[in-house]
Amino acid sequence: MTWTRGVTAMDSLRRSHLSITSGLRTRFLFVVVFLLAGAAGLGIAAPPASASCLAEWDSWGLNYHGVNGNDVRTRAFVQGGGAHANSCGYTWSTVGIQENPPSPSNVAMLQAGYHTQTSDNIDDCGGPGLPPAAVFEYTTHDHPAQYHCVIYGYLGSGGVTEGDLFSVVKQNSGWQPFDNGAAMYPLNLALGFSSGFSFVRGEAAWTTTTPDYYMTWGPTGTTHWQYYLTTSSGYSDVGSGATPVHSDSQDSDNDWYIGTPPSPFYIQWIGG
Amino acid sequence: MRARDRLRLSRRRGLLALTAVGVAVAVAAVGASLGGAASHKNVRVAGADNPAPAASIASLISQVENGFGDGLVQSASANGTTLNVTVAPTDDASATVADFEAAVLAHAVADWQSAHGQSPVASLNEVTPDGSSASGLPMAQIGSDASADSLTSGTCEGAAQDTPASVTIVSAATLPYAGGTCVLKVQTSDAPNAAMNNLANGMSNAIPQMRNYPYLIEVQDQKAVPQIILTWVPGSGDGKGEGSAYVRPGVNAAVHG
Repeated sequence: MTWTRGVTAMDSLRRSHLSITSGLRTRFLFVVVFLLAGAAGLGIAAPPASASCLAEWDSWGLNYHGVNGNDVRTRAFVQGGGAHANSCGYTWSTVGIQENPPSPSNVAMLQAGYHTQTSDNIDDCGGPGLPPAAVFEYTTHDHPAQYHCVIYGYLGSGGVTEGDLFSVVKQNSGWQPFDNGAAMYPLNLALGFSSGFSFVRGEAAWTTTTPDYYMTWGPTGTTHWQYYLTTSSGYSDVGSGATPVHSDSQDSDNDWYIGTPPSPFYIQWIGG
Repeated sequence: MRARDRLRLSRRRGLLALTAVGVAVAVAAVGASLGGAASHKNVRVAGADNPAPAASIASLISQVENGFGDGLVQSASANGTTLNVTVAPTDDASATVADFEAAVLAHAVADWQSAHGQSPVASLNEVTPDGSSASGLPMAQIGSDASADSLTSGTCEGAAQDTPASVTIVSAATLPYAGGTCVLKVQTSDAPNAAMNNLANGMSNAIPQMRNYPYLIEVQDQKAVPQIILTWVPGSGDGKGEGSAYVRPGVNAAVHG
């Protein structure tokens, strides 16, 4: 998996500044200060020193499992070619369980996986400037339009790596997300439902340039995407009966290729 | 002094003078701009920006509740290492605000206890008036990041001054809790996403490291109905921070998974 972050204006400024020889540096700074001050005085708007923004469009593709909503655990390895929002936006690559069959939004759920955002984006995981991270997000039965995002760890540190095994588990007193078997949160979450529909989800938001997204669930050599029923004594592989669903905010086209389990299968952005 | 050196010095003085003139003009322009913006803004700067130091936890809790001023936090009390907070949201939007306020309150109490040589609370138990679990994260780690410089009074109010005339500021405050907590609430007839974009940009300009501080940004329509709410509390969750988002059904905004 490859991850990218935007180059900040300060990075560019630093590079251009370093390219100037020391003999010219003082004079250069005087001129820059003068030009900026003069431009401000004349009412010419300079670019903001720092910027943050909300994504304009959001789109997702997912597979969900089951027809009765009896899943109490699900797990899958998540890996792939990349998840890049490209222009003021974010991506999600997750495994989760939700109370009702997937609808566009606002259903009680818990999902765990990777989150990325462009360097200027702000969303429920905070920002701007959040590095690629393992996170979990939840909504509750009583407040399904209230989304909570909790940062577990940043990619490359604290045990968060590419291709982690994410799972969502119903415990006796609530729900709990895991990353490679480690609890992503020490307490259980009271979400107001006791079983639901397992899903894997690829999502991207952007503003101008559309995203690049290609991620795999259950890559070769790892365990398949699996579910665990209320009546189970162990995990079972999700077979070909999974249901693909997509949602596209910008237009009515299907912007996603959603692979068919059993894994490995991939979810890919194919929109224009 | 050689002639060439005198010429250099003269040029440098000239540049300095020109720069000084430019800066003076800019300062005057910015001052006029801020003054003009303030004149058409209905900014309620909360009196809790600079409250007197709290003498007790009960006093602190009262201060925080008054600082938010919406009555969503009904009561709070520390019991050993647990802070019990009762919140009374009526819908998803007010639950988003209530959870944020409870989290900030927990950090404020922990900070106060640490500053007074007491063992700080280490967990937050947030419930509704009927005793059931609230929607907020059952926090397992509390205490703000002491490495970040505290926000000065007025910082967050300044972040809201570049909003267009079509945006009315309902409240803007820099609350002195958890290193400085920003609360911005506005009303507008504009697209909610555009107004939120503007506010978020203003905040990141005023506070370049805004992820180090708790913030709540709320965009309402002209009837005071919340359309989009974004919150962030650093250090919450398991230590790396927790955010939340509310989008009124039917409103176009891409802010959550």
